[in-house]
Amino acid sequence: MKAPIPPLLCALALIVISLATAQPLIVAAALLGALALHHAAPPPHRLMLRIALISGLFIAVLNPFVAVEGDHVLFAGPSFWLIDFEITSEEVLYGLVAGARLAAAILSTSAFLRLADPDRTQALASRVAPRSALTVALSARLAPTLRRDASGLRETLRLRGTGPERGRRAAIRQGTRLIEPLVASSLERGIDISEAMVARGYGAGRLTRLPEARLQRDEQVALICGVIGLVVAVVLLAGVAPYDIYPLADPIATRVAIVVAALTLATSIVAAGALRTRP
Amino acid sequence: MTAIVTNNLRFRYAADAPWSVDGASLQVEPGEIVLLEGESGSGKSTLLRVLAGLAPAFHGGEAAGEGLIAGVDLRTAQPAEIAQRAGFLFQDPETQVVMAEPLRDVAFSLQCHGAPAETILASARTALERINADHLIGRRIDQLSAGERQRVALAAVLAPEPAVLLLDEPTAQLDDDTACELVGELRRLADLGLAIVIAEHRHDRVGHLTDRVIGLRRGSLVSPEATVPLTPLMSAPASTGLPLVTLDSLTAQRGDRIVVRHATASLQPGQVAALLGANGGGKSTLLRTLAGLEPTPSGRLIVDGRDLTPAGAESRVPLVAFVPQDPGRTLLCDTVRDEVLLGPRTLGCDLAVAEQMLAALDLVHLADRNPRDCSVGERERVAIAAAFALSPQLLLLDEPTRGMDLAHRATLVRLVREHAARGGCAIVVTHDLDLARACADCRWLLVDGQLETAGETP
Repeated sequence: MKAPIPPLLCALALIVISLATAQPLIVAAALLGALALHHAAPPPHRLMLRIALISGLFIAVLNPFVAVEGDHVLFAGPSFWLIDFEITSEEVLYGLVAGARLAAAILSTSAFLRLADPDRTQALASRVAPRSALTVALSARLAPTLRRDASGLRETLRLRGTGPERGRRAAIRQGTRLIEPLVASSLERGIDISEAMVARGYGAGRLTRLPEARLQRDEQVALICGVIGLVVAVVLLAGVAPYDIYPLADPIATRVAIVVAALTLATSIVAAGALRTRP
Repeated sequence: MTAIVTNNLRFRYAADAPWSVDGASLQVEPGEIVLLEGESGSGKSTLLRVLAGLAPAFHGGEAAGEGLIAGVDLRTAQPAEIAQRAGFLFQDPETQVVMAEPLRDVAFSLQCHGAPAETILASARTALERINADHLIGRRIDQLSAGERQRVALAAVLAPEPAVLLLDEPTAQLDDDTACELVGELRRLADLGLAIVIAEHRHDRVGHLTDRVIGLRRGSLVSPEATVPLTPLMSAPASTGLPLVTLDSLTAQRGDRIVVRHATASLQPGQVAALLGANGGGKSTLLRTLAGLEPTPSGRLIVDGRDLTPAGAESRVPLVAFVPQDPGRTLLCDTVRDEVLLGPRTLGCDLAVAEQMLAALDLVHLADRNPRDCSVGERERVAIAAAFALSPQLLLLDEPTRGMDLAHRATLVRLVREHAARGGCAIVVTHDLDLARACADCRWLLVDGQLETAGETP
């Protein structure tokens, strides 16, 4: 687990870069960078990758059928209601860029959440909103416990002779039956934790803030990469390497775009290497 | 200075409720370990909560009498103020942890007490070292065992260096070895001057290291009753005909991992097996597989001549009944009676058996109460009664005596033997060797995923 600032900056930089421009090379570099960060983070890898890919592909496939723009017609079909079967290469490119942006954002965010030490992240957030930060941290910690409780309740029902119902209505009825004990169980857990916190002295006064530990060398490297990434993002926001897809897509492989994409990818890979968690 | 002094201390949860703590006058000196012993629901936990200032401040209710804990007046002090002098360790380590990593979690206690920032991490480390838990630093708490978590929780309680330690059934979630280690640590801490009060109905686990035992009956302090050890109950010899239960090369898996390979064993009608083995060895997984809660990758389970292998848990009841670990957390109904009767009602079994089980497990006076208003031990009994109420042929019990007082442990042994005398079988997973000796005819040992069934009763 790492100090939260370096992975936060790296993830933020990749998200902003992918949103700041529609230049396909740069967005692709941001996506590859997010993938590198994602692989550097602890598991679950496959689940998050699947979510990112499905979401990205959905947008990429959907866009040509809902957008009515672009000059290079690839397929001329009819339009009815919101669906447009006239597909242009610009619509396809825009869809791919939008899908890549979404996938990059999902992968970067999940990588940050898995890389950053939750306790240090909570400490960082508590500088702004102490109670909310603690509540969120506790909720996140309790989620697996509640999932276990829910599964235990379902098992108890089976052990009393009620199996999983067939049919939507019956399944809903059965699910409804578990809501009350599940809510009661989560409230009980909440009360137990509150009591334990009071018994530990929480609420006596202001919490002492722990001094933030110094960044390790690998964290410092990732921090520098994150800062470079953010500078690149600001430069792109300022209008360097402008790119338009509609009505006609600009040329992709410009010198500036190649340089920015290479810088984005290089900093992400270096950051991922520095943040990589070893089993 | 005396660590705890109370005089006629009383507490009740509501103005019209009976006193849960009734006239407790108690004195505990530094360095002393006092064991509060009593049945489930006798008021042990409530007394500890009153001493920690959690009742009535956190729970509401009405308190009377006087008490000083490490010099702090219970009538006027807030729980947070008392917390600086008296640490409180709860039964369930799951609900005591706030942070994700042990050192940070222990540090949280010190942060709450306003310790200087620059000393916190060093003090937290020292607290973990004091109880030999510093090797856990850097690991994720959600990946620790129950025993390790309880150690972290103990370190968190000890970090602010309280003068008094209050422990509410600290070993209930732990196996015998881990409980023994924890109790040994407590003795060491007491020898360093800490006053310790432990509420525990497993007298056998902590009794030998305590200085004094105080009994609690219906909220009043009394002399402790003599502990009656569990004695094996005589039963008719098992018949030699066809086995009632057969495990035929059965494999059990947890997630993707095979944990028990080709288990082959059988039980004659009236036989009870104690399933023993190391922690994490697959005992619970095997029982869950037999109950139909986990898929069976290979092999067969035959009960009363029927191959139950393809059937799910809901199709195996009432032939097979299962009480999992910590069943009190997953009760479904609004009253104890409804909970015990749920299975028999669903399956059309004889409701009279369920009523008998309510009586046998001392639950009649709680029958109309919500199970969540019952103590931990009472809830466990509710779940056990619900399993017995199905009149199963094969009864599966996973650590049934965790959190159970000695009197009800004896009742459980009697019920298991009566079940066997009626021709039923039972498999009991337990670390409690006394229980295994008292209720089982044979020992099944799970070693490295292999089931050895040749053993005599331990």
